[in-house]
Amino acid sequence: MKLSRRKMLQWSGASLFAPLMLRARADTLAPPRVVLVVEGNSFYPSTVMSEATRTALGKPAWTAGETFFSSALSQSAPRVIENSQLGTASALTPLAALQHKAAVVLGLSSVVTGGGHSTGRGALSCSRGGTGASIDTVLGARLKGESPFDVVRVGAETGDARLSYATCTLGPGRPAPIMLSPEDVYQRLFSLISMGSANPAVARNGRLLDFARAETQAALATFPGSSTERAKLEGYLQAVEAMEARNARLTTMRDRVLPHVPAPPAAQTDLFARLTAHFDLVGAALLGGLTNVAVIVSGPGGGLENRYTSVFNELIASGETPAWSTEELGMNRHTLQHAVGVQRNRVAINAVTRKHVELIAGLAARLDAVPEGDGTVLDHTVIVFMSDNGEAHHSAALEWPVLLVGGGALGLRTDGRTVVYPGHGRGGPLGAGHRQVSNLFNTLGHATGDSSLNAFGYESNRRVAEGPLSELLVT
Amino acid sequence: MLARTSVVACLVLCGCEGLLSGGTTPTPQADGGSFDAGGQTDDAGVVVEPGDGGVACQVLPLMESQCGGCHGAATANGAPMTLTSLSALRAPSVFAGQTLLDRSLLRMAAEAGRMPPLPAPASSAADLQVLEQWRAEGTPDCTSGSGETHTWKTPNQIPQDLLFQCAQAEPASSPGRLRRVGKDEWSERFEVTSYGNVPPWRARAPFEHDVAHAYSTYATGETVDDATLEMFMDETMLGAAGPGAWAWVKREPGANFSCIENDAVPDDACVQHFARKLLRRGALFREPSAAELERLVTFTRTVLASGASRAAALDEVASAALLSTGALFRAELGQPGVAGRARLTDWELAQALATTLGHRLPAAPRISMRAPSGLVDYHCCSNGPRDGFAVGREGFLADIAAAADDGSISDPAVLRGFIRRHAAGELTSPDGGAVDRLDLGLEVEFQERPRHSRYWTSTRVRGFFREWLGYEAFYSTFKEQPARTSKYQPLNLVDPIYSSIIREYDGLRVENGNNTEPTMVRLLDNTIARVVVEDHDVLKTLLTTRRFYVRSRSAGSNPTPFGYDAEVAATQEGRWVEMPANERAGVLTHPAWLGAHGGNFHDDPSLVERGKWVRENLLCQHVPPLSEVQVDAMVGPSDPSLSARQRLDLATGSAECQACHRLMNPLGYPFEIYNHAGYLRQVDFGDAGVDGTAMLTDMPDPALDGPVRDAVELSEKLAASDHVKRCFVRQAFRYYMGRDETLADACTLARMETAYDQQGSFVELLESLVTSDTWLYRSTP
Repeated sequence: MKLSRRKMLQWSGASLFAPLMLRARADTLAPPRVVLVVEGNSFYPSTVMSEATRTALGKPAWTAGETFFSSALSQSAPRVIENSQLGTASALTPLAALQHKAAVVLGLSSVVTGGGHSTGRGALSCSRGGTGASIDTVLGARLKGESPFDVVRVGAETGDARLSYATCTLGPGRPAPIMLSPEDVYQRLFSLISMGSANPAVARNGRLLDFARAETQAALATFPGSSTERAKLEGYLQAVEAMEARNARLTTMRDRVLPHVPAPPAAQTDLFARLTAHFDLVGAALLGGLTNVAVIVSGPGGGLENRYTSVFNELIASGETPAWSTEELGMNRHTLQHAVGVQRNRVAINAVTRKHVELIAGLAARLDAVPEGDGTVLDHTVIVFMSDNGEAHHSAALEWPVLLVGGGALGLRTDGRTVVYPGHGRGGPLGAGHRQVSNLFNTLGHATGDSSLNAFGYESNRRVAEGPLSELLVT
Repeated sequence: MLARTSVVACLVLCGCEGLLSGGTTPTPQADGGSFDAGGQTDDAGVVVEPGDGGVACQVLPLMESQCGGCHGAATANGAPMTLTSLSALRAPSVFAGQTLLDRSLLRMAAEAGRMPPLPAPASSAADLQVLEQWRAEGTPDCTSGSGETHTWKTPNQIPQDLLFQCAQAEPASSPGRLRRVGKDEWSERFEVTSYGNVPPWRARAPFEHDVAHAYSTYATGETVDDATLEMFMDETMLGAAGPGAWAWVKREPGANFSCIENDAVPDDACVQHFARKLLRRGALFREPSAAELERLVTFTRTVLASGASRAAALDEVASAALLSTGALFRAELGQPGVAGRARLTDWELAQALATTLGHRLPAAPRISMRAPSGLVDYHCCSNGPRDGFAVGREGFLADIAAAADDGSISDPAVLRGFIRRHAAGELTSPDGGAVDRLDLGLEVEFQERPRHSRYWTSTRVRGFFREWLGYEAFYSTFKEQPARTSKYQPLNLVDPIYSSIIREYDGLRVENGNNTEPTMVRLLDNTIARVVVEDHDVLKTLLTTRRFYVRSRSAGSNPTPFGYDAEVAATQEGRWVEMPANERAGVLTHPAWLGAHGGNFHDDPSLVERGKWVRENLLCQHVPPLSEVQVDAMVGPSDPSLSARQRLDLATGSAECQACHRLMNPLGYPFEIYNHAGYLRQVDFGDAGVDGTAMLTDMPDPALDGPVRDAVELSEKLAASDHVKRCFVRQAFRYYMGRDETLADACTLARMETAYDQQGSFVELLESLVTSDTWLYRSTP
């Protein structure tokens, strides 16, 4: 039976208006932080399955064509493999030193997103095509506190575009911009800090923003058009006001942020060089208190044109694959994925995912080196690695592998476990133990202090269960 | 004829949800295509066809489903009022001048304080459209039972015949809107005074379009968000653009700004003059309103009093002008103060017309050009010397600006004249001596012109064909062994000329590099441009011409995808080559199109992508994307015993797969006489040899049913189809209107078709559109 909006409101009305219940933490001064790392166009569940997990599940090493697995398992309840030695998974080797502060989740579905090559803005909003705010927007609004940026959204793809709108949403029908150039991101995060408020350009920009604000307010006051068109001017006004507020806040934070300001990044064309710069900038932003929520997207919208020449060269140099022809070195992700049945290409796509994990491990280590409260910054930060597409190049959105790193002080059970959920029922009723990506996002809400976030997303009658993933939270 | 029920059946068998109530559980299918947009469909394209009761009969069910939980007969959760009747919605709210319907719409579209609140799903664009339409109609009662309502997610789901049946009683119009500047338009707003020295900020504008839009001319949801503003405010962007705009303003013929530059305290008239000229010529490219002028005048006084140097102050004011809403958003709202249906103002008309032709607004700044033979300055035309610039200091399209000034632009004959003058043309004698057209061909360097044909189209005419045909993707599509299975590389992997093939092929793909010859994309531009300039039976010619523009070559030099091995003279006329009748016919057999819509390997299922393109872009029919069928789509591994066609047949032969693949495969088989890169096959994998045969059934035009020999014959059949012609008209409507067509546009579409049918003229097609009520009038709430 289809669930109407009316029914949903009746069910959720109580929690909607209940006061937020903050989870008690040893140190209430350490802000919770969330970093979402998204690899466009899937990474394979098999690449994050440790040897212990394979043994426990009776699964052999990854073979050609293996995409669905959780749904084939004869289990009706979630299964937890403790101390699963995550560093033995083919894509998780860079994380070996921090595997005791990580967890892998397998078997989550998100069929409302549709699947295909990429679910685009659906993945982080648990909706079809981004008909609601993505989780970073929801978390950022609440976790912003005194930081100047509610969310820092960055990404990388092959090409010269400076912005992408393919992954995050500010609300229904409102895509959120993702900055693709590390130089632009540096300008946005650190230029004012570097310049200092005495710089004449700062006063000049202040006057310009004053003018833009007044000019747009005046235009809105007499705007004769529809609400849809009006929203374009309102969006501009919001941008101006947000920039004014942000600049004011940044000028008061200079002393705190200055030690973290990195060197300006050089222009790069290689995808992973750009991603590396982004991870460096996001790390500096987190440590400097510029934001508490960040999104790093590799290949927004799927990244089917992304090229991984540097990864291929590394594989050849290390002997993991035989030599590739010059033309093959230039192949894009789409070509690579379509030919994943070939062992060499499977090694390559696994290496691409592993490169992402390498960057995540680097960020995690950087955060783990900074004491905070009773632990470290990493303990108060959860890094979530997922794709925008689920389990395969052409996805049915049935299995969404997820890696979590950090967040132990937030109550997350990132203790080296692998959690496997029963699969989405194909052709039959959904298993009662099955869970969805929306439950993962509920979990992030609970971990960061909002125990009322129990029904994130727009799954309507597809929702299996509300609430967080209890296997990932300390009760 | 492929009935709508068949399409629905396809959706059911493929496990499609979202378009059907109730839904079905997704089941894995074989390959449904490798080019899906990724599940980004939403309700924005829904078309509501009101039945006898009109939209009024849809309002209450909509409100009940979305708001009834709290605003029902018994209010709940603190809701202050019931919204269970039309009269309740008509009632005034506590906000002066606003009814509860007005407030409902505001709250349902808002982000902060949205209604219904989280976690309930937000109202869709379709829901909001119902309420807006009811309000625009004057909130009438529901006088009978609800009529049949068709909900189409894409315009390709609308029966084409309905779109050309002009029976509407009310005059046509389009929704009023704002159009945010795009990065191409932004870059054309600044003067380039030194050849080859284009400022980097001019080319790095942050105004990206949403790639989910069907065409780049669509403006839905585009605003200046905080990331865009951040990049725009950067010192190297706005800080440089402002002075650039001011410098152009000062170069207006007869301009005098000495008082604002030199007077210790410029008087009111001086400041007004400065602000007005800055807005008119440097930021808005139209006459500013009194309010816009006053705001900039006020700011100017503030900055002049700030203590900054005069030069820095004026640069700052110029930067501010570029931040104004009028500079960032172009309005199409109609005459102010006229509710309902209003004609575009003269300046709105002028700007809309200018952006129909290209990226430049009226009186847009000039660019510098280098003459051939190393001359820096050159002189042209009876209009006098140009001092090395493409146009004089009056700017591009100054004639359109003048017509807006004197009001003549409201004359349909004047509108038609501008289209006819600026849409396309021939450049004579470009390789020396006089040049008589300086507004066309500016996208290539001047000294490159002799290697291009003398036929040129305006930027947005070229843009339409590039985006509709999708051949710009040729630049970025990787090809492994591009000549494989052709006469140049039958099936060998090691070939003495292989490296030369690669070198030539890569050279065809490099844009803005050191090429001395046009790229493959530009070769197709040239081919299309001649058809448009000759402007007779344009669509038919595009689909059947064998007259391709190619690169010059000496006999025996590196092979190209055209398969043309003879010498081609390095002259404009010599580069026109007639392709063999059994090898090529029209744009769908051109290597640029084939390569753009082909896979990466010679035995990839390119035919699926090509067939899907034909179904959607020449027949205007809908093929469900992968995101709707949720398939685990993959063909089997490459196998020398299987051609691409055979691999695909094995993967998609089941009844479930054929529900969707019957829409694509038959239209793609004919293209298997070419490989993935557009080379003509000589051999193929498998035992069937090169096979381009197909059997077309259930086509929307019964004349298309029957056997097809290959892509040449397919193109010829498509060219003769009125259904295809109508689809072409619809595609042009979408691009130039910047939105999808609806049933309300039927009279305009019929009018465009009639105009086109006279001589098959694309220019007349455009003229009929820009003189239609759909184009000239806007509806506002």
